[in-house]
Amino acid sequence: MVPFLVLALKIPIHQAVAVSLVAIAAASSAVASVNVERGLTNMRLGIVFETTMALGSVLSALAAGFMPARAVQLMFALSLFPVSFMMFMKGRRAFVAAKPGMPEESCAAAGRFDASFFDPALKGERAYRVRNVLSGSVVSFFSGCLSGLLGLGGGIVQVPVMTLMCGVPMKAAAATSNFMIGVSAAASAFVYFKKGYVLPELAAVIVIGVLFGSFLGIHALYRARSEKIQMVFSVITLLVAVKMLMKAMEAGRLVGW
Amino acid sequence: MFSEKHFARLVQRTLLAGVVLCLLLFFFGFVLRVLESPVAAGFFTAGVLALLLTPAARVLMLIYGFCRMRELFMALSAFAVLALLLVAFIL
Repeated sequence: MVPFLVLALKIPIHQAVAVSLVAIAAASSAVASVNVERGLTNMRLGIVFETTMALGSVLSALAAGFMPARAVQLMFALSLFPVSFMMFMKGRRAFVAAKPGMPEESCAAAGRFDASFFDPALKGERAYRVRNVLSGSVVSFFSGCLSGLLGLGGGIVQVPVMTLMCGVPMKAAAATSNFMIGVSAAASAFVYFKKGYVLPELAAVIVIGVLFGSFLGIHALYRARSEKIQMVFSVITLLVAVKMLMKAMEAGRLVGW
Repeated sequence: MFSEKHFARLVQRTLLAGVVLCLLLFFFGFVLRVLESPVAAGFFTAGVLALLLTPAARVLMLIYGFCRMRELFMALSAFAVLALLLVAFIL
C-alpha cells in the first residue's frame, strides 16, 4: 500500500504510512472476523505477540516524526529483501503433507498455544504445536517497529516468523498475523492521526478498496495450498522491495549522492 | 457455558460491527460530499476513528472472554495491549 501511494499517487511518505495503517486496521478487522469464526486464528498466540508488537509500533510511530522521508523509504526497501528470500526458501522445500488429525511435532511438549483447524485443502483437521513463543515475542517487537515506522502491516515479518520459528502452519499463521496487526496498526495509526497525518477522504477511499480486495483474498486463501501462497508472497515482496529501493536511490541522486 | 465457539463468535461480531459502522459513516460522508455539505469531512474523520477503535473493542472482548474461560495469563496479556492502546490514545 505504501509503495503504491508513494510511487503512483506521489503522496508524501508520512501521510502514505498513516493512511496505509488505517487501511491495514480495516482489512485486519474485516478478514479476522471471518478467520476467527473458522477457527483459523490462534487468538492466544496472537494476543501474546500483540503485547510486544503494539509496544514496538507505538514507540516507532512516535519516533517517525523525527525521521526524514528518504531514510524511511530506504529502510522499507532494504527490509523487504531478506523477507522475500526467507519466504522463497520456505516455499521451495518439499512440502510434507500433514495427515489430518496428527500433530506435526510429536516430540515438542504440549503447550497452551497448541491449536487445530479444519483445512479444506487437506480435507481434515490439522493440529499443530507452537514453540519458541518467547523469541517470537521479541521478533514481534521489531515487527511492530517496522509497522509503526513504515506503514507495513507487520505481517510480512510475522508470517515467516510464525511458520519458520514457531511451527504454525501457513494458513493459521496468516490468519493469526492478520488478527494481530489490526491492533498495532490501529495503535500507531492513532499516533499519526493525532499528529494530523491522516487524510480522512483518502483514507475512506483506500479503506473501501482494501476491504473489497481482502474479502476476495480471504476466500482464495482458505482453499489454496500453503506452498503456492508462500511462493507468490515471496515474489510480490521482492518486486515491491526493488521498486522502493529504486525510488529511494532516485531521490538520493537528485540530491547529488 | 462459554465455549471456544462462543468466544470466537463474540470476537467476530465485534470486529464486523466496527467495520460496518465505519463503512456507514464513510457512506454518509460520500453522500454529503456529493451534496456539497461542509459536514462531510466530519463523517470521514468519524469513520476513521470508528475503524481505529474497533481493535480496541476487540481486545476488550478478548479480556472478557479469557476471564470467563479462566485463562488469566491471556487476560493479562490482553489487558497489557489495551493499556498500550490507551497510551497511544492519550499521548
